[in-house]
Amino acid sequence: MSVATMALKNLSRQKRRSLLLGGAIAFGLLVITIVNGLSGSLITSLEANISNLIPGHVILRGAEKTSTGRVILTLKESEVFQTAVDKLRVPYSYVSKTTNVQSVALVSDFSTTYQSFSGVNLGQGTYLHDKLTIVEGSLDDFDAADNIVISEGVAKKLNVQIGDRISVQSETITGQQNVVDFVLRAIYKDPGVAASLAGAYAPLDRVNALRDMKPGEFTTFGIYLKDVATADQWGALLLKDLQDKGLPFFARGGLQETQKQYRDQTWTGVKYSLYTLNDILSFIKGIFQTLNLIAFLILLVLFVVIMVGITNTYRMVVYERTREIGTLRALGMQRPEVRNLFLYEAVFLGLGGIVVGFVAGVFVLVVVSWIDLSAWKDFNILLKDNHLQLQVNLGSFALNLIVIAGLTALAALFPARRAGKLTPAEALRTTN
Amino acid sequence: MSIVELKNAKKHYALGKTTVEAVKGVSFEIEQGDFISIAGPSGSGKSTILNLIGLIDTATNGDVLINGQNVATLKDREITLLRHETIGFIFQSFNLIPVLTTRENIEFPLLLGKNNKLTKERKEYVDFLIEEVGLADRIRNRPNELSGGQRQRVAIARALVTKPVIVLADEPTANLDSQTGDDILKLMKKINKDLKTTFIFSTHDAKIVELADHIIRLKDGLITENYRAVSKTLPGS
Repeated sequence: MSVATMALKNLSRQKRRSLLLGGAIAFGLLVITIVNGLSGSLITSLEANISNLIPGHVILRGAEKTSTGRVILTLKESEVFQTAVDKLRVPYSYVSKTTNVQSVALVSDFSTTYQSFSGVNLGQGTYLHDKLTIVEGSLDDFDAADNIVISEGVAKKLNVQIGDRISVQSETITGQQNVVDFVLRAIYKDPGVAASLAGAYAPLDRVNALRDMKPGEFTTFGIYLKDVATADQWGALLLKDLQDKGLPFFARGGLQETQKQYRDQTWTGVKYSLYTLNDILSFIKGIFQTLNLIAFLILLVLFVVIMVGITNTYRMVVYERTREIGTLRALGMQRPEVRNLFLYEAVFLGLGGIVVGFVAGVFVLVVVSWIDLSAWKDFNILLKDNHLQLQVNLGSFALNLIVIAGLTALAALFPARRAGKLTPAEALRTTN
Repeated sequence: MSIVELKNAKKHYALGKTTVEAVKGVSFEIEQGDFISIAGPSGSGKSTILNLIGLIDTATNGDVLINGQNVATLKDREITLLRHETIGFIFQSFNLIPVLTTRENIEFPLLLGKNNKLTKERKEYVDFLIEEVGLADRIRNRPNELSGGQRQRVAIARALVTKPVIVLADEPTANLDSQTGDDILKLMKKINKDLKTTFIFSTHDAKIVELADHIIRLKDGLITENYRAVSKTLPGS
């Protein structure tokens, strides 16, 4: 029987004490597993759902500033981008060429609302055709006519049905007011809190006509990657390659940062910007990261309390077993083995608590992922098929396992060292 | 050759601001195979001398030699190793490990030290000892499921499992009823004869003193008598 086996057996001596300490550790891990799981799930769903609403995971735009200070979105070197993508062998599933207008007026017979508007290719096999969740109407032959697709929320605001006419009013690239009529062809599932990103979509050439742009022109070159997690990596590589080719770029940042640069900077010709899905989501991700950090800090405070409990408990355990320590030493156990006996015991207690807490946390997440949250409409951007996605981060579990087992051992180190330092004579003389 | 030798050994304890002289300078030798009784009233220094011989405590002054080796020169690790290889312990309160079964308690010392593999030969020796102390039907029981006599038998088997040359027994019958005490003494005397193991008792039990072939009497930390005697036998031995 090894020291470790004996430590395991010792755990069963004071079942209630072991259960309470292990339970406290398990509770801490339960909390962190649920918080990590939920925030991870929400971020993943958010990424997946938002990437369905924006023109790509890596987005390239061009902007020209006129002498009057007006910024015209334009992309004149699109073949350079495609060449760079091919040269770097970027693993993409789809490349989109879209014309984006930040705000247009959508006018129905009953109401008016302001929305972003994109000219896209929504034909069979395109990314958005596959990803947009259509709740009414259809995208079949969408590119062939003056069709428009809007979200459930916008349809409700405008009080329109499939087949109704919607007028879109916007400025042309030269600043003239223009109006084009569209027919509502399809309504897609409302993205709730991300409604500002979920604009109206129409065939590219019709939006170009509204903007007084030539057929085939576009303002945004978007790449939908096979693995969205690699967006930043490929974005950085593309940016470097294009800068090496001499193309002028704005500093990396999200949409708002780029627009601030449009306002504040003066330049001639076309200047480009590159941003990724993560740049767009950085604010929201920051919120979740803060949430995770707060959860971790709470866990840390909890574990400081638990560590004090472990230290006190093991001081008591060493006191209670002083004679036994004397016996072990008399029988030939060396000082480090006595110390390790208590350390192993504490580590096993920690590991038991961690595993139980993790399993309980995963169980809670599984149960939560079964709940139908379709009534939670405002937040369905955070859901997948009306459910929270079950997401368990094994990496973070492994980290928690190491950190908590280490902290538990650290908490027991002081009493364990004291146990190891006891001389057999003084330990055996103890009367407790 | 002496297996144990104490030369003017002294042991002083600090008790608050005063110093207690538990052993005031004793000298004696013990031969291999002795069945020796260190007798005396409470506070005479019996247990302290047993602790010095058992390498559980160190002398304040003087020398303690085990197998001719002066232990004062050894480090704690070496002392622990020497203790493990040379000495077996039988305690008054048995001192069994409560979470271990009878068999595990007996095997336990074999898993310590340099040679800590439980070989077939060692397992067979454990079986032999279990038979010898009459606990073959109690090997899976934990100490709290055994009687006092059975616990002391486990302790005897545990003390012998490493085949030590010396077994120290600190008042081994003090917590046992008379009949069980006699049985235990018979068993130890038998082992002493059969295995030539040196048994050193600390006791004020007259029966043990009568059984001993070497008697050392103490009073106030000093030897008052040290003599060899013809040991009696217990009825039924």
